[in-house]
Amino acid sequence: MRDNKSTISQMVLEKIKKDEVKPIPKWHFVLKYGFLWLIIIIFLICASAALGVSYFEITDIDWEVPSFLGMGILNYFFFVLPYFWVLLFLAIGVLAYYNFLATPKGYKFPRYQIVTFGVLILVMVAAAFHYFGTSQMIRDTIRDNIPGFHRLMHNKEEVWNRPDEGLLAGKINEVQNNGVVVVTFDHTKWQVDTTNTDIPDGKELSVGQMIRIVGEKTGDNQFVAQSIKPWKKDGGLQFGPPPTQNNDDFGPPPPAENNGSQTKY
Amino acid sequence: MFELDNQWDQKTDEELVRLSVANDDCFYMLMQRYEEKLIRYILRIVKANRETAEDILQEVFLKAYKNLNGFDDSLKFSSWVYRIAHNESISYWRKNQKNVDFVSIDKEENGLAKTLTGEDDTQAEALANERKEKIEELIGKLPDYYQEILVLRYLEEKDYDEISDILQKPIGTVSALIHRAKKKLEMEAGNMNIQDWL
Repeated sequence: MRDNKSTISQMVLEKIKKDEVKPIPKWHFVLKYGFLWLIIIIFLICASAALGVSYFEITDIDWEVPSFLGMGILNYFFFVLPYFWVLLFLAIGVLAYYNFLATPKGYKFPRYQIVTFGVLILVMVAAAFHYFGTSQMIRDTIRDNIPGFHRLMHNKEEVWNRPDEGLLAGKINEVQNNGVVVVTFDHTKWQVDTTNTDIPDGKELSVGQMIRIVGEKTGDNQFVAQSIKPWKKDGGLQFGPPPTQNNDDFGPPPPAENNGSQTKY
Repeated sequence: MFELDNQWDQKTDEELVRLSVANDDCFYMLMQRYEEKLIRYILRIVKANRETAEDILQEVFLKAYKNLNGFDDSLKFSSWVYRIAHNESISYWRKNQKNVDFVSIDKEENGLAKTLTGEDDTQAEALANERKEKIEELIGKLPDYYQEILVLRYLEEKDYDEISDILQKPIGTVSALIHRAKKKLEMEAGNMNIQDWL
């Protein structure tokens, strides 16, 4: 037992002098907390991006599809929910939250205030991402450049490539008198009869447009369309100008001599 | 060796912190001011013997000295050093909770009274200390998370702001925790018929 009241203070001072202990320089703390804030900002941007893509994916859900697949609306919603993006948003959001708590004054704020303010920032940045088309760009960039990524996601292309169940989608390859030739996402050509098809007045189908078709398969690579809509939901009733050639979703354009045929290439 | 100019006695803790960065002797003044308070606080948290508490305190002072430049001027030095002591104590407690030689604080070195009082205590002070010991005993019966907040509030006599800074919890949480802990404490006091002491 140490008996002197100030022994510990003396021992510590002696140790400081003997070992030449020095206070950590101020710049170290400035750098440490500056880096922490940088990480928080990066996390907020990433979480906003993930939220923006989640929103984009959810608003892109085709609600007419479940009846063709024999699924309930709720089952279909959970089937197509972009789990990857939602989980990424939650994970990065939680990391940002805990990093904020680690800032010198982070603990002073009630948890609900941090969460509310954080979510507000995330929603605003995500809305900006969505407005400027960044969400879709991020989604497409990651999907197209990370091998195997599409397996993590509900695949809209796959859902719409079910002719036996009345769903077909692809790019118009040729416009004929009573129909169109569509190349689907698996590079199959389909002869689509549009004689009795519901197409908005004043709109015309043209080569290069990406469309989704609800109808009925009538034979090998033969399809009768009941309604045709633009592939992208936000295209509204506008089919828009034809996309530029060599759309990534389709690969190389089909050979001209095969137009109208049912050949798989 | 450690005799310091009397003028430093008049300095506030925060002024001494600024001076300590350049002159480690000033830090000695700060250590002296807090040595006994922190020993007592550490003993209350880790419930170990005094030597263990002194070892922890050395780490606390060294850590505080190394991090002097990280001291936030908007805090009281007292809150800051208590926070370091709290974190070190909890860290020690977690690492050694199976090996800690449990010592009841009131039995340590003839009890809390010896720490808090001198030989020439008046009767009123003795009574006050008796109450303090009883309250400490009651607090010891509560779960750890209630104990740490009640120790700071009633035994270390810290206000809500200071407790918030020491435990790094929002004031609202501190207030709610104290409220719940007090209720629990009152229940325990009721069992011992000393609820009037609270």
